[in-house]
Amino acid sequence: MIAYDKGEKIVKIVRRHSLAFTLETLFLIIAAILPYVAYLKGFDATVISFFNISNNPFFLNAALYTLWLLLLWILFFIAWSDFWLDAWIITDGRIIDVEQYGIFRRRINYYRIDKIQKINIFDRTKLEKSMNYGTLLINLGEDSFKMEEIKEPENLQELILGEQKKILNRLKTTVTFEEGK
Amino acid sequence: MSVFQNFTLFSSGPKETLWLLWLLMLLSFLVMSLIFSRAWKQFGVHNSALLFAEFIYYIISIFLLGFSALSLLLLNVNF
Repeated sequence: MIAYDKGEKIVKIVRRHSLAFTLETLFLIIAAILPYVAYLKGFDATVISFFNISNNPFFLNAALYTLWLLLLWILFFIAWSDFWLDAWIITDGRIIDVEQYGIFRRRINYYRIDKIQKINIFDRTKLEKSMNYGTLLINLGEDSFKMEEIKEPENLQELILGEQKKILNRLKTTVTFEEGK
Repeated sequence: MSVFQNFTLFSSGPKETLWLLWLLMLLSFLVMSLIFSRAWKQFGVHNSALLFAEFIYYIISIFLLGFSALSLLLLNVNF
């Protein structure tokens, strides 16, 4: 479970570019269409003879096809969950890196925004440029981490730096206030 | 073809295999529902998109399970 600090506000939730997920979905759509192609090619006769059912072959086809669709539907949700739960949560104080490995495993790292020293954007390939996504390398001195395949990396870089500025301003105000006392 | 013709589950005939397939899918649906629900809730941000996805997942899965069960009943396959 992700642990939030008291009063911590979520600024933005960032996910990987949906390209890989779209390809997986495309593959599942093709898999959903395949039985229909097989039916048109006369494969249903083989199925009917296997199950030894000559009356109402429509219901046999319908039952098998819906079960096949259900399997694909579950596979689609496994892919979707993997895509959706793999995220970076940017709050007003931290970046929470949630790495999802399939359905069962997850790793959560917390990084304080005020500790960030440098944010670099990796050189982008032609595909990355055309789809407007890229990878950010966030340096925290001793520690560093990557935000891979994210949409509009420049905007995100600005957003994080903006949040950092706000935190530093807040800290400055507190210090000045305490010195004034 | 010969492999298919000899294929039976729990010594039942090919017709009964249809119901066993259905039961297997029902079991998969139930297990995956538990896993999804746990994974989604652990994410912590239970926003409207996640709730909508959960709703769509259950509705479509139950529809597909129901439709396949109805087809098997209309096919008059007895377990």
